[in-house]
Amino acid sequence: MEIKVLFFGEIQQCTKQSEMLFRDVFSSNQLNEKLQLLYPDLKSKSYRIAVNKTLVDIDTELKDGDTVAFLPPFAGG
Amino acid sequence: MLDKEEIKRYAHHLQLPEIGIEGQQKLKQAKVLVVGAGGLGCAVLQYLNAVGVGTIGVMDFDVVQLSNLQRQVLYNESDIGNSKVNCALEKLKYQNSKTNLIPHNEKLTEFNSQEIFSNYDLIVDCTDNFETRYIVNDACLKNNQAFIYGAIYKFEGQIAVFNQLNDGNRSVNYRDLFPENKEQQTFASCADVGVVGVLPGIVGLLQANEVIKVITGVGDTLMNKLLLINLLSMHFEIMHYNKK
Repeated sequence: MEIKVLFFGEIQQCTKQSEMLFRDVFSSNQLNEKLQLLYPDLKSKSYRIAVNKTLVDIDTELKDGDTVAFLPPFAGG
Repeated sequence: MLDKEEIKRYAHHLQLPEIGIEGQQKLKQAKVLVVGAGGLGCAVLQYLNAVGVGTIGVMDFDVVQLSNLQRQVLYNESDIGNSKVNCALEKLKYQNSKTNLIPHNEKLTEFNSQEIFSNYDLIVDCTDNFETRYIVNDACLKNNQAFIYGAIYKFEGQIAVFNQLNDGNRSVNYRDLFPENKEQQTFASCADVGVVGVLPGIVGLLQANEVIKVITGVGDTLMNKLLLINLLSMHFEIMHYNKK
């Protein structure tokens, strides 16, 4: 079981990397909680989670090989 | 109707079966407001004006600064200290004398947005802060107008078409994607974190491309989608989203 996690924009400033691999995470909420424990600054950030390029509103089951993206809004113009 | 000069000027559009005379006339009849004449706005404005969008509103309240010139390519050194809207209009009128350019030298607020927007068919969000982005979104929702979103961060960009009419329903809007969070106001702008000079040009051109598609009805727009681009990795990815 391996999940690829991608970080965009300002989220990368919290995680200090653009992607990570996780084993033994089974849902998007569980992954989010795990990341917030690792990187407490994430709690004050606004972002959306996408599983396999679809933005999700609710806790979503993760399967081996899934890709999860953490997407913050950008202000700049 | 297109006149003889316009038929020559837009010859390469008229050759495209997807646009042709009918599409070019739709562009000529269209009224588009560009909110923000910064990095994104400079790219959007030059191309909407070049391709013959008939009426183009330009909205900004800022003046040109030296640090803008790295990416805001409508302006030059002699413009420093002058109104962006006035400088932009000055350049654009020499680029295309056939378009109708309308200055809005004022700040967008929740009080003036609906009335100003009601004079246009389509809005392009080229703003540089969250507060104004929500004002653009909310006025477009109240007026039942679509708008083209573009936003940038360092080497990354986001582009989407929000609130577009589709089979009688409105597509996803900015609040669906990113509900308002007041703490975001402290998030970074270009002035705080830096931005690579070409990024607003690339994102702005992708916004201008969506404007052409929405007006002419060709192709698939970025409705219910969010295009993400990263100029370091050169990854372009589309995220999908549907209202529940």
